[in-house]
Amino acid sequence: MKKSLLAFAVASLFPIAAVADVVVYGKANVSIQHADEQAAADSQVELVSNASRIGVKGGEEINSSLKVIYQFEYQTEVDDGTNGSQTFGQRNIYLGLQGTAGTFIGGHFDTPTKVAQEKVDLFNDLEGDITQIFKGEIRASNIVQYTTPTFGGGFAGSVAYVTEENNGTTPRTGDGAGVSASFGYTSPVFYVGVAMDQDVEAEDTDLVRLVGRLNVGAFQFGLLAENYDNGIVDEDGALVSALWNLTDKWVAKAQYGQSEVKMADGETASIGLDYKMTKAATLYSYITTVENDVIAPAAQRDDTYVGVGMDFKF
Amino acid sequence: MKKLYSSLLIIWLASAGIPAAFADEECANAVDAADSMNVNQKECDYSDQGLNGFLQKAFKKGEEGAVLNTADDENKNAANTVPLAHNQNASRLAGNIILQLSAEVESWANVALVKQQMLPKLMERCSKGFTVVSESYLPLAMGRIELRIEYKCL
Repeated sequence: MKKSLLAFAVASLFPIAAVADVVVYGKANVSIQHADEQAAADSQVELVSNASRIGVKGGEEINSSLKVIYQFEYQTEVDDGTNGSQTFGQRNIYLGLQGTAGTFIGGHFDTPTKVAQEKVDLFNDLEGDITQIFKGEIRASNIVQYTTPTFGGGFAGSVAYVTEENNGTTPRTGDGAGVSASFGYTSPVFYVGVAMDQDVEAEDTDLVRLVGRLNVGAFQFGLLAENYDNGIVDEDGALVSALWNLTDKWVAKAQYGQSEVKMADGETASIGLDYKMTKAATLYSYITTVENDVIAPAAQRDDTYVGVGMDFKF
Repeated sequence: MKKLYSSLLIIWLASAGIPAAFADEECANAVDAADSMNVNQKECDYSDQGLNGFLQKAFKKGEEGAVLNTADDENKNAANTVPLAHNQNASRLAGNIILQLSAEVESWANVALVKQQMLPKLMERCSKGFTVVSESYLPLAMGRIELRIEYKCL
């Protein structure tokens, strides 16, 4: 599509006068991988769209101390063209008010517990994503959230109320509302956060998550630990990750997680090598294994994925 | 699991003494900034990056790189430029109009840095050079400052 046509198409979605206040953003992330999965009869080569998306966000000041903020973000499947019957799937979407006392937002978005993972998951949106073996990765519908302003140089906290309304893309079981909260300290050098979910996934489920990141020179180290209790099972899991900026272009990374939270003896290990062509475009490669000791044959996993892909942020 | 949590707590408390002097304050890509869901992150100027940058440029009628003409463009230009008293048609007399570039600054400590980043942008827009007509500092929410530079291309 010619650039002018693309601009006109996007612009037609928004008032022209508002363009200056809107950030239009997105990314295309596509990989081709060899998937050797235990549940499949044969291994196969797949083209995978990894959370490719387009979104708009922005705000407008009401006065010197209050601002309306919003974000609308949609996922699109670059490989298949559709996500089930939808061309676009809803991702983080909210409308809110931001002032000196903090920020209130409401909509459909990641819970504070999910957001608390920060940059620890180095294979986010790929086969090595922590969602393979951890719970708490919830994008909740009908959620309202308050976030404190940053104080003390980097401290901030969020508390979210997941309403009883049971519809949307993350249906909840039970009748009660859920609460998700996080508190942490963020700096470019290190981050530490603690988060909890209560009755968010379902009634009587509790989840606690501890996350940390440390940057030392060319290295980044990450750690995530989680406890999940639904009244029937009370299980733990942990994950470590390491990233090495070999040069300003090449990045090596590795990640290992072991967790009983989502499946018996769940285990995932990934290594990867990235090449940053520009600030916006990255070529990447990865090898990921996902294993468990589940008894039911259909749920058993001893899977290996080998892939290369490209991530372009626009 | 209690042992694991205790160990983690000790590691993080120990790391609290590491100075943030070599912190990377560079703005992340807009998509990464949105993905973080961090409503407290500093506001970055994406007006010259990616698709957003193209859209910003495309709707500035009369400026280099403008590709679309819409009815609202005239109003938009009028809002962004201050014509001199004897030059009512700004688009035809580009050399005699005062243009404006503004940016949000997180704190007073960063004003000089932001100004250093703005001046090269003015040079990009004015290939023969420019004159700074005025600098204005306007208060924004949560202690931020808007730095507004009015300039004229030579």
